[in-house]
Amino acid sequence: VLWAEQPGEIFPAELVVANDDTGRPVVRGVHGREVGELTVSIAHRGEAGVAIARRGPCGIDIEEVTERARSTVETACDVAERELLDGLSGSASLWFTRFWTAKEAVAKLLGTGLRGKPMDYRVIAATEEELRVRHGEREFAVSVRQVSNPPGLPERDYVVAWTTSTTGAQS
Amino acid sequence: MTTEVRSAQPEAVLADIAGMLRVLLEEYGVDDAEITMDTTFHDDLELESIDLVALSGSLREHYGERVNFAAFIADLELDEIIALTVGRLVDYVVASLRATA
Repeated sequence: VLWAEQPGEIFPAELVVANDDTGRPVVRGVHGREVGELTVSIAHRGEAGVAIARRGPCGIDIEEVTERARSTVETACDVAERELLDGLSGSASLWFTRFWTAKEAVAKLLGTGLRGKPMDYRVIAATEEELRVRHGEREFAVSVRQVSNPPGLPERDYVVAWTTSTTGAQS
Repeated sequence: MTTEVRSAQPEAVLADIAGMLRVLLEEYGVDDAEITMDTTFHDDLELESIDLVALSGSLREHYGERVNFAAFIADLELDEIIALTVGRLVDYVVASLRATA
């Protein structure tokens, strides 16, 4: 974001990362560097870490693709979401991980985390690259991609999800 | 009745929850986790919110509606969730079981 907006170098020492009181990372400039309003979201799982920076709200999540118990799916997804999930072709565990990370990415954009209420974030449409998530009156587009650990690390596949756009009333 | 009383003992609940956590951790290739009352979900076991959802499902399968894990988590502040120990969950489950016995 910063490189794209202005000419010239930006050095790591000019940026400080701290946490706000809800635990979200906050980046600010030091040594005279101004970064303005910058939203940063970070996530990690296993050996992988991801981050996103944006002007305006954004959220990112990463989760390992593993087999999940049906009770996990039933706790995380309501009936309509499970119908949507069950109708999708391909790996069920991959699809569930896409749903989960998309919910989490939106929850992180809103700054609250899922807080034990994953069903408040409902996936209403899904393709292999983008999910739509509804929370209250608002709808969010979330991009999803698969990544894997490089050779030499434990074999793991992950899904990364990050918010791309928001529609609906601001809450 | 005897079963009810025994199942609401902290030792029994700890054994139940440790068993659920081991199943969960096996999915990540961890099969030697030591789980005590002082074990933390976040730092010691490196569990994430998806795992808490999985645990919530396991608890419901095991104890039925008597233990409301979602309500337990919803009442915690973020720093409390990060510092959450197995012991605190065990205490909550024991209290829930006794309240509904």
